[in-house]
Amino acid sequence: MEEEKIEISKNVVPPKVIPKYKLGLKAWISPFKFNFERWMYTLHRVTGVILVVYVYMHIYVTSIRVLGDGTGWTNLMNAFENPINYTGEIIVIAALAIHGANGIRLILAELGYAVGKPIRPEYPYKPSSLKGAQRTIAIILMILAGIMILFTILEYVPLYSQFFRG
Amino acid sequence: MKESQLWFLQLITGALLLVLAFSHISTFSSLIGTGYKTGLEYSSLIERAKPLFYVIFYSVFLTVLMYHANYGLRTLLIEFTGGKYKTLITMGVFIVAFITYLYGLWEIIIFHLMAGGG
Repeated sequence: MEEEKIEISKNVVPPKVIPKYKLGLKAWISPFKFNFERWMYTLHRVTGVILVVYVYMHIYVTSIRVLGDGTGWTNLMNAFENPINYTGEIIVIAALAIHGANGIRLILAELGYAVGKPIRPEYPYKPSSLKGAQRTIAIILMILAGIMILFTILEYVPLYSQFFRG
Repeated sequence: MKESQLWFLQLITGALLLVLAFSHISTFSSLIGTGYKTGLEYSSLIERAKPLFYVIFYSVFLTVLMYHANYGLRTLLIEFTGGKYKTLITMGVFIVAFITYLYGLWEIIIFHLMAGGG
């Protein structure tokens, strides 16, 4: 049998591959082909950004209470009594619930709990850390976060209703 | 400090924040605390700021929160820029965070004194 000769041209330009760590924001916002944990990764970062922005705002905005006799604070709180602000606060608490719940999962995984035993990487390879206890913990924590979000919404329902009734 | 030590601190502060943030938010919940409206009244703030515990709790909360939030922010910015400008990002985040931290700490102490504590 004649062996096929493969000619390798020196002029072939290799395709431009962007390393994963250089994808930046693109890697965050296109998680559609990824698994549940990858969604958690994206959510953790998005909620983290929301919380960082809120923390900075919160520190500077609440400092109004030390400037004056409290009139400024009362006026500010009155100005915040509107559905836009209530919705913003619900988003922040929802972000906190998701970030916190996923944070528990990450801490457990980092400390080596519920990640399963290492297995031989044989096809079809599915890491033991992405199934079983780890996945169950993630789902339970997300349900807990969901319950916290639900309670938060229920807490704000009377406030919305009060605003619209006038 | 080594990156591994900074990351370990991030885990510890994250765990602490679960307790601290929940305690802070529960003040404004009608299930556990005084409720949203009452909890945000100026007289209610003054009442809460009187004990020394207020200063201790919020100083610890602020310290832990600022570390956790800004380590996270630094990580994201380094990730965005593909590892470039690491030192610049670290310095920038540190300066902004430290100024805000000092301002927050000052605010906690001053409000405690205004409330009649001390």
